[in-house]
Amino acid sequence: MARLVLALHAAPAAPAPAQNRSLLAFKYAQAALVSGHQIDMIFFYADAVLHASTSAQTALVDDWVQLSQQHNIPLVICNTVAEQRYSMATDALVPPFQNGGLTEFAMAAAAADRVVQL
Amino acid sequence: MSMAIIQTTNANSPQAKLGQDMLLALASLDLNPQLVLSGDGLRLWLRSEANTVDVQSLHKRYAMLELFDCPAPWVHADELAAHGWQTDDFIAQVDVLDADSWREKINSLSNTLIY
Repeated sequence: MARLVLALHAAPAAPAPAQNRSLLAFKYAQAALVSGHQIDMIFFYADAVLHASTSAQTALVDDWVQLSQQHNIPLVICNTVAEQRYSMATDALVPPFQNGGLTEFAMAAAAADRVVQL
Repeated sequence: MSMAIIQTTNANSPQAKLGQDMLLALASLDLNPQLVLSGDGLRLWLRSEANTVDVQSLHKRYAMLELFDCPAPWVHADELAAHGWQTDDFIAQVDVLDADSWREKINSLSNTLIY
């Protein structure tokens, strides 16, 4: 069984053609866990940082939170993108989303067997 | 674990900076990411595109790849030929691949991020 790191780049309510990418990533994560794989980190980069915004909550974000809590998977956002591109208050993220950056992602990627971009 | 960053957008796209940031983050941890330039991504490395501060900034940051001992980016010979570009047109050394080598090397990549 493989150790995976997922990198999500689309917002939870992205416009077409990316409107289903977060859902696709969620289903992929579910399938990977059911298949016995381990997910070391889910990294939210680019527009995906909006998953952690208190003003952009959707049922799908609730699903991500539940998945994280059930399987103890860190949900890490790129706080540089969140602050610079979206002026998000990164000291008040939706829990359990946590601040991080490309260094944290790169370290997780280095330890993983496979990195999957969604 | 080998990592590759494929850049396909020009400097006007936010994806260009996001991809470069990711590339340099991986390089800084000595993961030696392989950069692949295709489509408009080729313009990110053209000297002639350095007519704005943003592109000049991108070029300076790409120069850091050499400090991290990263491999030269892969480019497709047919794409260069279609534009009439030569290797001297780029800001640093590129690895020009013919169609067979391109197919073989792209197929060998197991972990890729596309911007």
